[in-house]
Amino acid sequence: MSERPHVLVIEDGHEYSESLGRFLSEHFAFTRAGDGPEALALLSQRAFCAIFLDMRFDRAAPERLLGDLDEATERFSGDRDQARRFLENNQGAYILAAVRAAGHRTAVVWSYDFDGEPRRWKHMEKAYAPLAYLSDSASPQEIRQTLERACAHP
Amino acid sequence: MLLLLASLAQAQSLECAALDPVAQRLCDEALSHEASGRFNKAAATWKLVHERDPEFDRATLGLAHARAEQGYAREAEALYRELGMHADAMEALAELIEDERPREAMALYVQLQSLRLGERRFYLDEGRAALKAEQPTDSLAALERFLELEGADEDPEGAATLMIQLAASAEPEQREQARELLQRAAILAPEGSALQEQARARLDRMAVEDSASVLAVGGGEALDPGQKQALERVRSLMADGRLDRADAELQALLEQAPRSPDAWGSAGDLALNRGELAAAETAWLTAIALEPEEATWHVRYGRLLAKGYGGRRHAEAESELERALTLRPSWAQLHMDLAELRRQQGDFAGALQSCQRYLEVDAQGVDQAAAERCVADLTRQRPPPPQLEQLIARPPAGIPEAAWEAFKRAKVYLEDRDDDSAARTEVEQALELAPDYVDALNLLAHLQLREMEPQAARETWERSLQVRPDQPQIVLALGDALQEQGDVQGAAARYRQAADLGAEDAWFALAAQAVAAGDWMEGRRLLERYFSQASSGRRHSEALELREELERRYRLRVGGLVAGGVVLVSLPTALLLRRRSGKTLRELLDAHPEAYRDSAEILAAIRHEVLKHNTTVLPAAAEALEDGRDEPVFEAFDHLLGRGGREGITARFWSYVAELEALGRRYDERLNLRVRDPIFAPMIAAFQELEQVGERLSPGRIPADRRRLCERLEALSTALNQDAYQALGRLIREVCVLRLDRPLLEGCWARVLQEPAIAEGPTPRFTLELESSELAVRVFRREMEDLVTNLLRNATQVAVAERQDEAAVALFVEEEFDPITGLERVVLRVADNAVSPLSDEMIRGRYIARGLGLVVELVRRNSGQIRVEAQADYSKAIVVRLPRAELPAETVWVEEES
Repeated sequence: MSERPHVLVIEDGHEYSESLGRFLSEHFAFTRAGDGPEALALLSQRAFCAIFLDMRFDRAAPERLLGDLDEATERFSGDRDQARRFLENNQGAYILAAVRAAGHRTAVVWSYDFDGEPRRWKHMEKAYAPLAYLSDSASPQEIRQTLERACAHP
Repeated sequence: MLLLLASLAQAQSLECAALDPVAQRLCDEALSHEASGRFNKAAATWKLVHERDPEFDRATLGLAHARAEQGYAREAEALYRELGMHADAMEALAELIEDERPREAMALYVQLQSLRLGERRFYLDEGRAALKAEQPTDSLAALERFLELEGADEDPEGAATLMIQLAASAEPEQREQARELLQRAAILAPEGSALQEQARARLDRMAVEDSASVLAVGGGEALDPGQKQALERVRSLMADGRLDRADAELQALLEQAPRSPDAWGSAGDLALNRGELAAAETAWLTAIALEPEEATWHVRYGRLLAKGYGGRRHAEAESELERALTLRPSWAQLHMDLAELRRQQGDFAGALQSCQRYLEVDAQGVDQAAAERCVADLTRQRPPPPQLEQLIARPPAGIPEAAWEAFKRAKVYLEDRDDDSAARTEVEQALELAPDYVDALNLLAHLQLREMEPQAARETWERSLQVRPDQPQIVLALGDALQEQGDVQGAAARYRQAADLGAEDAWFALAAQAVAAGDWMEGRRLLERYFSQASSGRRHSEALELREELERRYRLRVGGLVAGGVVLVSLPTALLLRRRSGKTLRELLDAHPEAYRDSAEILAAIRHEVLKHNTTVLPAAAEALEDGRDEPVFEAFDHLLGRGGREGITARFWSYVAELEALGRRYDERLNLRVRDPIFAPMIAAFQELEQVGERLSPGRIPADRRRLCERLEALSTALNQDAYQALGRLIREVCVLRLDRPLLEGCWARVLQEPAIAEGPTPRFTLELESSELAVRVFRREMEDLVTNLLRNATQVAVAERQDEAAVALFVEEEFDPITGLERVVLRVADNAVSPLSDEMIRGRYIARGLGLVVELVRRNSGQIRVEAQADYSKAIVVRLPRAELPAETVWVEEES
């Protein structure tokens, strides 16, 4: 079993790591990080063949969110709650930006349906490749294939 | 405050004596109102006194008290401040602002100590305010100064209360000081008082914590496998109600594992089950001491304190729940527990904060509705006070005073004395003086009905309606009277008239008539009209019963027909028509664009909460089934169908369908989602099939033909996760997305120029630049028009006022994107060349003078941002950024009707 490719799952809950573990444990080993700082720490300790990334982190502790809350507050006309929600709702992007800024080129599979936002996806691909996303209707087989492709990435 | 009012009342005669006779009488009246708690009247009367003699401080003070009691704190504060160094005013002001601005209150109490040298209580007041200002050292100093005063022991309760509060706020390193304070409080408080009990309870708690800390030198210890099994057995015995046996086994376990927090936790549960509150408390305190970082023990202990002491230990309960939340911030339910505790203690600001926090932590939680209601209730604003002249009753227009007096006497005879005969004499006298006096006519009809003269009552009501026809309740009453007399047609005509005038109960009456006539389909329809308008009222429970009865008949009728094998041939025409009639959701939205926002919210909820995160388990379940792994299949269906006590996803779906149908009724339309709607009909069929499949699946009951079941699950997945999901997405985009194009923006500018205040002045130079014609935002058209029009109007007004013929206004529409999130924004820059400054702070303060309040609200509602920025060639620009909406290539632009 030790030769299974190792995937880092970054999510604020446990849903993805549990589901992936249940359905794909024969093919991959999974390690979970609950937020950006934990993910960066794990990436600095060992290599992963791919990252499975959530987008919304509304259950993470506020002090663990990446992104400048003060700057976001300023943008949202001084509304700190709205700013925090913005950081939570887009935390996946902030984590990905930090991962790339730290020099990790690991392929990322994003569990966020960009089908309805093609322009945004183009910006994301340009900024953070290698990168793929899973639509909401992805089956375990599609997830497995996408992760295999990600892990095969040099 | 009561003390103050009492002392004021004692001074009544002296103070009022200085006034002229009229003012003196009013002054006495005001004092009397004040003493009996009639603050509305007190305020009105004090105001009259104040108007007669503005130098009379007591009137200002009384008016301020009354306003404060009515909840108009700002007005009261201003009045108190008018009185400057007046000691009574200063004291009342300090009490008024103490919670909100405790430091300021502290300073006032210190001044009062000098102004009223003999009054010791101001030292305690200062201490209390200092504590609220989180200055415990100052609080303690004030307390010590108080205790040094001669006669301090005459107010032991005040000092003991402050000591307990100080002890509760002590930091962990001040534990010994806290203990000392509690000991002093226990001695000082009157023997047997609740205060003394509270101080002793806290000392006991400290003693238990001390003992437990000794016990838990190595911390809590986990149970070994055998002990765990023993604990499970104890819990099982408890669940079976075999409490004595559970107790015996638990005691044995505690002897083996005295440092197990789990065992002590269960000991608390067991004790509570047996009604032994003290034992439960001790057990949970021990569990806390052994494992202080486990939130569960704090919660159990806190809830016991909240429920077991009739409110006396709410403060401690609150502190336990707060501690639990610190340890486990995601435990949303605790916010609601805290809200209730705080509400019961009168801490409404704290309760509001807890409810808001609940919604932040778990916006979709089971208590969502309760939390939203709590926020709405606690933030609801009082209506403005009625004007003084409205407070003074006057006869209705055109009615002689004598008739009005007679009418009022009639009401008193009827309502207070139950003397119908005297009431009738008076009301008849009123009507002699004023034959068209509508209220008197209605009262007379009421009396005639009580005296069993229905015909006379009917005639009187007819007279009343001739004078004033728009009386829905009287028309309805007339309908009831006709119905009573057997004139069904006449009653129906009156009911329809009443319904048109707005009497919702009239719909119920019509529905009841239809049912009585055997037309229960019509009855059902009319009843739905009633429920679309009434959510309460005197006939609501009757209506609910009737609806239940009609639904029962409907099910019986349809079920009976199907069972009889005469499905379509025998279905009544009405039923067929019903299936084929009704609107699709799209048709409803076309007819009622104002329903867009509500329907979009429901559609998004179905897409996100029902489909996206739930039905997507279906392919995995199918795959597991094919691989011969049954467990994931049961788990998936338990989740979807809500087995095991959880709310199921299917139930959530049906509730959203019901919400959409109710939305239709609100616009007087019947939605036919189940048959006619191209999006919902297949989705509803898929959910029905899902339920049928699920009902046949349970552990040990998997159909032999696994392949066929797999195919059904895959087909359901396609129907829900692909077809329905995408169709809902398309519809949501259709109802929400708006293209920001030149005609729309030019239309806003044209509207501004047509406004009278602007049309009369010089027309400013206007520039409109759009970076792209394909910019879309997810905003309702009307809201976008309001937003742009307001910004342009503001810019125009200020530019014309300051620059006259040189005025220039511009609107630049651009796009930009956030490099981190990739989110695109549409940027609207409304620039002008007025020189007066405008800042972000002014906008955030919703600078009403420039009419920006609505703009800020619209921007906030649509997740946008607003700020003031520099703009080349202009003095400044108000810049609004809104999330840009994206559309897949095949999406057709859909414009809302304006």
